Amino acid sequence: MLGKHPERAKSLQETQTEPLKKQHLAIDALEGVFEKPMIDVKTLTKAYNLGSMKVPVLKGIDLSVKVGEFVSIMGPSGSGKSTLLNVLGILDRYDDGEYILNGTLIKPLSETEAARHRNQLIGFVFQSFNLLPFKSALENVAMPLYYRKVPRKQREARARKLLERMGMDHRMDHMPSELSGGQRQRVAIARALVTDPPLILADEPTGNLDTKTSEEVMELFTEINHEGKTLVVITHDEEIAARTRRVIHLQDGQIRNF
Amino acid sequence: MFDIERWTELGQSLSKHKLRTGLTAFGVSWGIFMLVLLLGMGKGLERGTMALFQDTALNSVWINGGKTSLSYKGLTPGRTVSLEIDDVAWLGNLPGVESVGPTKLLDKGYVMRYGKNTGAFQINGISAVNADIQKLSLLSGRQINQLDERESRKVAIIGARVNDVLMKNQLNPVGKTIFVGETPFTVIGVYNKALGEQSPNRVYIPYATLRQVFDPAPTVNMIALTVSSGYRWTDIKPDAIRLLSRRHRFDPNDSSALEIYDISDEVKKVESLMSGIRLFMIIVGTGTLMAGCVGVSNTMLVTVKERTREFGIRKAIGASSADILFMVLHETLVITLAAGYVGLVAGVGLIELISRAGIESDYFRDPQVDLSVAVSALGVLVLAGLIAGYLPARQAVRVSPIEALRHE
Repeated sequence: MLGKHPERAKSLQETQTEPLKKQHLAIDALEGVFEKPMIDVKTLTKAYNLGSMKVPVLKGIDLSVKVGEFVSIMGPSGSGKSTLLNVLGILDRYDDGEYILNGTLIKPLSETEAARHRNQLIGFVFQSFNLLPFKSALENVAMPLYYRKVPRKQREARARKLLERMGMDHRMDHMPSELSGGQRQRVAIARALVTDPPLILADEPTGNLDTKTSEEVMELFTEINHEGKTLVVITHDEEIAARTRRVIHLQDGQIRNF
Repeated sequence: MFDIERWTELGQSLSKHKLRTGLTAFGVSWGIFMLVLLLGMGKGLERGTMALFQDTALNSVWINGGKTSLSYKGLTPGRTVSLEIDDVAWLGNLPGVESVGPTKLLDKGYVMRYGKNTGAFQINGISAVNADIQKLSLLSGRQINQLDERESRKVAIIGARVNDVLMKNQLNPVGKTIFVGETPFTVIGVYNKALGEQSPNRVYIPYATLRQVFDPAPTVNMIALTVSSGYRWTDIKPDAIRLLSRRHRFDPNDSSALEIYDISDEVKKVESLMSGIRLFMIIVGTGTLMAGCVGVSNTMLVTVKERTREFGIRKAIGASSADILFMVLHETLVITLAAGYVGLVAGVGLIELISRAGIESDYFRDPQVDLSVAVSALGVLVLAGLIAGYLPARQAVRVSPIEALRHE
């Protein structure tokens, strides 16, 4: 897909809006330093309150993902994968420790700041695609830019570019229900990329796809990674994990080292 | 804070969920519509009933002669008490009586003629005082005055029905002459409504004229009096009864010897009935409103529950909780306001239609809606919708998006 159209990827970067371009240049500069991590987690803990009981879920996670890395986090269910993803995605708070995302300490963020950081730094890709069912492919992709207060025309132009790049030219005005699983996931990936975030968090992105489509999606991820984006994929599938450059194993709320 | 983007997003969200939007809107519209109708009809009932008194002085008392039921000074019960014109003068001397006048309705109809048209109608003799107490609702012309009475003028106020028959509903019969038998009467007015009449088919002339021309007997059917301010009928009543019992020889405790009709008492009765009806309307109206609130709240609750996933998606792609709450409130506000407005317009429109169509009876006329009440009711519904949208939405945005998105 992407591999067949390298010129599309290039034109995409050229059409980025001004602030997006600046951000991207900043990331390029960081890449030069390379030691600067995208994700830096130190002795992070989190527990859920179950009645009067505190159930620890994350028991001191140390994790560092450098800018431009492509890693997968593996673990059985109940290992704390989703909690970790929540915390990494600034969708949930943590109790103790430290989480620095792209140089920003995440802990004391207000609700609004958290939403802004999510919008600017992170693109999410989910197992069940999570497109809004009452919006067309194009509108779904453009949504994150709505929350960034980008005018409609620009939103749609950029969303169109990304969908073209995903090979979805002829499906832009289709509703999610009219698309196949693979097409939906491509729309979801386009949506994750639309704000040009430096970090993509994918939660079981191939869980609902057949082998062939899974292959295509992972290929797409590899291409995106080559563009300089940091990718973190959460999965329990060995084959998918094998396609990433580093595998982190999570067990019982802790990183397991081999 | 008009933000075109927000409105576009809102329009899409509402139009893509037609059933949801429609149900909420219908609940609000229907509630307001029914409430407006209820209030309007209640007002019509109140107006119609109070209109029964509109032509009558509210401090007036009407006295008819009755039949005795007690023996008195050797007289057997069952005698007819027949009031006379002298009673009027005597009653006028009592302290607390403001004015007093006689009414005499002739039993048989008289043939009347205008040009070639003839018809038989009843004649009612009244005094200028009665004209003040019981104002005939005049379509044109004037009431009978003191001068007519003093000079026993041959003047008449004719009913609209009479005008219809004799003059083929002439637009202005005032000043024309009609003949009662061979006696000419000048028409001074036309009435279309009088207390105790089903349709306006009588001819009113001065009492003095009636005695002179038709019936010299000094009897009267009914005496009308008004009570001076500062007095109540109950203050005067014992004196009046004692006076009449002496003159007509009946037991002052004989309650059937006189038929007394105290308008203020009647008004009080009707007013207490009205306040009962008003209370009933408040209860039913509040009930309707509550049902509307429950309906709207229920739809909002279900809607928000349904949308937990959507909120999760929006949060994951950069919406803050405040963005989502604002969106929910904005949608609720727009639906409830627009739907409420539709219900309000429909209700007021129907009421107006009823009013224009002139549907009225003795107890119902000119329904009208108290807009401030209707608007406050709408306010309550909108508020209920907002609260019912806000509370579960606040819960929903607290749910971690990942949780919301994983549980399908």
